[in-house]
Amino acid sequence: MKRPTAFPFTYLLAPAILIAGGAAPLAAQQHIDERAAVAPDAYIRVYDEAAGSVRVTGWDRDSVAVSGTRDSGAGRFSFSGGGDAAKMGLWTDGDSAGEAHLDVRVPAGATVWVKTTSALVEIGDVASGVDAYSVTGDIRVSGTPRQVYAESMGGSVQIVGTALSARGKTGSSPITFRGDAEDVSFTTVGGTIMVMGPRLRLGHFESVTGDILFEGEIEKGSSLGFQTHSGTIELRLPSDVGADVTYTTIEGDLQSDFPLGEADDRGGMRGRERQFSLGNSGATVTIRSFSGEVLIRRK
Amino acid sequence: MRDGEDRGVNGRQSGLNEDDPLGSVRDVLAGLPRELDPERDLLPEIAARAWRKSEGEATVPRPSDLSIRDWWRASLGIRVQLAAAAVVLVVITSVLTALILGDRGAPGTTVAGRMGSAPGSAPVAATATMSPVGHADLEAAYAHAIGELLAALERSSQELPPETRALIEENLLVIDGALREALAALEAAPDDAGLRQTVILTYEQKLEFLRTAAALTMKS
Repeated sequence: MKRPTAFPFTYLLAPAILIAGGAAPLAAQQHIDERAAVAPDAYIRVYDEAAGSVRVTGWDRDSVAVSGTRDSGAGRFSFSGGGDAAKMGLWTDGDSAGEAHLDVRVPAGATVWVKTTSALVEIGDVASGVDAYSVTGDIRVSGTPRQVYAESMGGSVQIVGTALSARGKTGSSPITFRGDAEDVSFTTVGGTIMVMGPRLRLGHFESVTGDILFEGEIEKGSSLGFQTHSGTIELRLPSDVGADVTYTTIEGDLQSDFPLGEADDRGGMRGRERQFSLGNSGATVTIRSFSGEVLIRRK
Repeated sequence: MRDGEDRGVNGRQSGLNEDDPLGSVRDVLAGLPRELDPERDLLPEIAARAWRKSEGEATVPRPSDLSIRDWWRASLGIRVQLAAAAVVLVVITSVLTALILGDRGAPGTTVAGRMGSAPGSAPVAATATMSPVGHADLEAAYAHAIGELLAALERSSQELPPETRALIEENLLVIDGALREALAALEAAPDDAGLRQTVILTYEQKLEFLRTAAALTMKS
């Protein structure tokens, strides 16, 4: 007698297993794909409260396109725009879970404003103005933007390229600049400021406890200012540098590979002030330190 | 009670008073506008262009009016506070620096400009006549601006995770440590204009950090 075949309950379970195992990740991660026609000089605003990343790249089309993925708990996505401007955002109501990664293409001549809570910000090939803000995310800007303004309280700021003006602020993370600019200003509390290979007309570099490293040319007629409370200021300059330097300190020390004159005792006040020329002068350098060491090195 | 503390702000003449420098600061502050848009914020222009309906052209898609109103309502109060604090910062810095340097140049001329410093450079150490601005006056003059910004920061950071709030506090501790050192040095040498300048610059760093932190932690 043939025994009745047991009903293959596993067949019934199969769809559930598939849903639980294979399909669930697909449901948890959602794709973003939006686009709109905009003017070549449109204003683009990106606001992201989720973790993850925002990448904005200029292209040669008169449109804005955003693609990417977001976890289901990474907030709600909105997009609107066309013509003069477009805006997009990820809003979490303060309880974000998961990540979102946005890849935004904008006209190369667009002005871009990005703000994130913790997401990495990467902006490249945008020729107009760039404003990037993050509470704790890193910010990286590259290309030839006309002006860059980047602030991150908990993340780092990195600017690579050529800009008319560049501004950067951090809390305790580094600021790195590699490139050329007419006017540069970087401020940090405890992060390190590294300015490498620049050709600057105006530069201001300021920290509380962070170190400041400048390595580059000092063009004739340019004006640079360095200020710290207790960080080390190190200038690596070419042998043929020409600059008039004013150095003021309260408790700090100065070491130089270049010959320096005697220190002025600041009229009997505490600390020292020195004014000296490097080479044939031509540029103005002001160094101010409370207790940080100042090193002037020959490249 | 110090001279000036028993007199109200209203009704006083504007301008610098060498006998009461702190009162002069208050006078200038009292005459300031209560609202001022931040110079560097691109957002209003972006918003205006983003949702302006232009006749005769294709209408720009706009989100619901409610979302725009919420956006501005949420940010306006803090923006006003930040703008006001920024004005306070500029005025305090200008007035105190002028008093400390004892250089009475043309009204409205910055000290850096008068001394020939480039806009991007750090202020030159003072060597001019000393003023009666002291340790306590400096603290008092900055207390108002710092209080305003702390209030704005408190509002904007309420929903922040604990680690972000800790980050803000850590940075403030670093700045306050530097400030304590500079103030202690000034206390030991109260006539040192260079030290006063250092204290002012450190206060400015604190104010600037508070302004930045408040703006960054503001939603939208």
